[in-house]
Amino acid sequence: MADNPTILLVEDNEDDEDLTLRALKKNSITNQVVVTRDGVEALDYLFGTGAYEGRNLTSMPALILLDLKLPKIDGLEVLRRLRANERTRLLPVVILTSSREEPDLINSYHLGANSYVRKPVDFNEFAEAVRHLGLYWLIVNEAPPATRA
Amino acid sequence: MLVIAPFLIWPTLATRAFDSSYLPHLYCYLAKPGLVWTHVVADSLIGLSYLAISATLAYLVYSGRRDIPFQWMFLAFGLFIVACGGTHFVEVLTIWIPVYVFSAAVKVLTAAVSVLTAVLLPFTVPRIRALVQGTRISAENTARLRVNEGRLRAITETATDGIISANSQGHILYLNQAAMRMFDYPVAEVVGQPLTVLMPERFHAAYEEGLKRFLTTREVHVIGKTVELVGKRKDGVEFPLDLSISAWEADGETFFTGILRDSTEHKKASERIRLQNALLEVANKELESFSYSVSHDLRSPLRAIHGFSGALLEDCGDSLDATGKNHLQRILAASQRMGQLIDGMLQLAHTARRTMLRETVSFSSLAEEIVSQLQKSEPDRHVWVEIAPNLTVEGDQALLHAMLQNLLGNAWKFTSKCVDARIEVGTQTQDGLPIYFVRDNGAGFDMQYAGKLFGAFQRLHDARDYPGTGIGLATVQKIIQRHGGRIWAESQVGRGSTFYFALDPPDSVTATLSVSAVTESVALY
Repeated sequence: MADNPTILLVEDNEDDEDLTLRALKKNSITNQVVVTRDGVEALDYLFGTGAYEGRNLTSMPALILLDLKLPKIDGLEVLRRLRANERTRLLPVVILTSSREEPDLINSYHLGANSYVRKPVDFNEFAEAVRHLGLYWLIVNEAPPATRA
Repeated sequence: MLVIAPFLIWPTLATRAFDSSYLPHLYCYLAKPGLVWTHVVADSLIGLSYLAISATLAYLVYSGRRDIPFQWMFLAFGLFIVACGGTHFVEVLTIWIPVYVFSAAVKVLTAAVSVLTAVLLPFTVPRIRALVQGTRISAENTARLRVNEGRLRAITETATDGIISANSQGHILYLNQAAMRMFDYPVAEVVGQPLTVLMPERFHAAYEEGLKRFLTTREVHVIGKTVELVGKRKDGVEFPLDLSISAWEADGETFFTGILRDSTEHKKASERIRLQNALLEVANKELESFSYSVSHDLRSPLRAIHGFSGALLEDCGDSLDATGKNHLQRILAASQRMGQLIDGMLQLAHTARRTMLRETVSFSSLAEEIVSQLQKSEPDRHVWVEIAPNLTVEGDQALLHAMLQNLLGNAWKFTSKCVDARIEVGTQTQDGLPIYFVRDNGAGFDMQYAGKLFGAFQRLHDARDYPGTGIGLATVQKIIQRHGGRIWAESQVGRGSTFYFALDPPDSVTATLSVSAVTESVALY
């Protein structure tokens, strides 16, 4: 993509954050990554509220990497709220989490997640998963029109 | 008619009847006192007896006029006897007074009555016989009724349920031993009492209304059903009971019979089961959140250990010597292995917990599919595989797939060092039931350790020779147990292993599921 859109990473664990960024870098995904560390911050960024008051809302991330277990507001609730909002309704959301428990999978898809990736323990496998994600969502996939503004 | 007939035929009879110009009988007896008095006494006794017999018959007919059939016959018979008696009195009379015309008239009358009775009697014989037979049948019926009653009494008295009968006013007519014990009342105290003495006061109004409604409208609310009620013992203590009532009619009156069961114990047992189920539910929930927690929280630090060890090796590898690099490799391998163990554990827990479906599964197709995947994963290996065709089992397709995946995966793994590797999937019959087996000619194991085979994290081989988590066979056993079956193995070191398993017939499976799922999960942790 010409304008090199941003990736929103919602991750409370510093280790996972660093490893995700490392995996992105390793795969030469150079998009700007906005990191928010809990559900509230993620929603503030997306809706231009709180710390992100006044943010230019015409610029929306091309991809949201969303962890499920988050402080304050959890990932499923973040997903529910952004799917309920006209502005963020169509944003591609990839659940990136440790769990493969059935309820998590079902709830995520039920609330409109586009993809669900379980973070492997093995970093090499993790890096490989991130490479696939970047390739697919940022290059292969055509983003919905609203996010191009 | 018969009496006045002679007078009509012979009009002068009345005046001539008592003509006594003949010789009295006294002369015939030559006035010998012995002979005369013998006749007098004998005839008098005969006559009196006949009178007495007739009187008795007349009384019998009068008093039993409702029940005694053939009254006319008795009356004719009585008349006949009276007439016979009359002739004897006349005999006595004619010893001294020779009124032979009168005597003749009495005899004619007697003859007429006798002939009439004699002629009519044969005609009534069949009817009398029928009557006699009827009496015998009714006697037999009475005997049968008595037997039935005895049997009924034996049943009701030995029944462990309470049985109470009442009339349409709701007054107790009968209660059996069990009912007496249940309510702690002696029979004498309750028979004739209203049923309300056996129930707490707060139910009286509803009961009376129900009784009235049934008797007036025949509207059925509780008749023929089992209802849960509360009973009251003599000492006022209340207890729960199950009651079923039937209504029956005899001689135009309605009666009720109720069968009662003290449900105190039943209620307690249900309560206990409910409580235990609730506890199991809680235990299940805890296990679920435990495994959720393992899934989320335990893997996260592990990922950091693996990830940063890798980063260290990658970024700063040049400044480390061989030992330092080796240490980092060990950390990487260990964290990787721990990740596999956690995954195995989660899989085992998931196997124990997941909802089972039951369908017909083509066991042969499953095996073929798995073997072809194994072959694809290691295309260079040459394994001779024989799968018996058309094997089907009843069970959960996904679980059976996981089970066979483990068994065939093991067979594949433990034949990796064989020159002529063979794997066989088949069936045979044991005690009339099918058992299935997966056989290989691989490394095998020492039967001495067979007991450890199916334990979680138990391994009989060095991980350097045959890698694995020790979760596979535990998962296999769990799946077999969830199907109500069993699994066992035979092996010889260096000669291969055979894993046999049997799945129980479908009916017996469901009951064991819920419990085993929980207890086994508990055992796992």
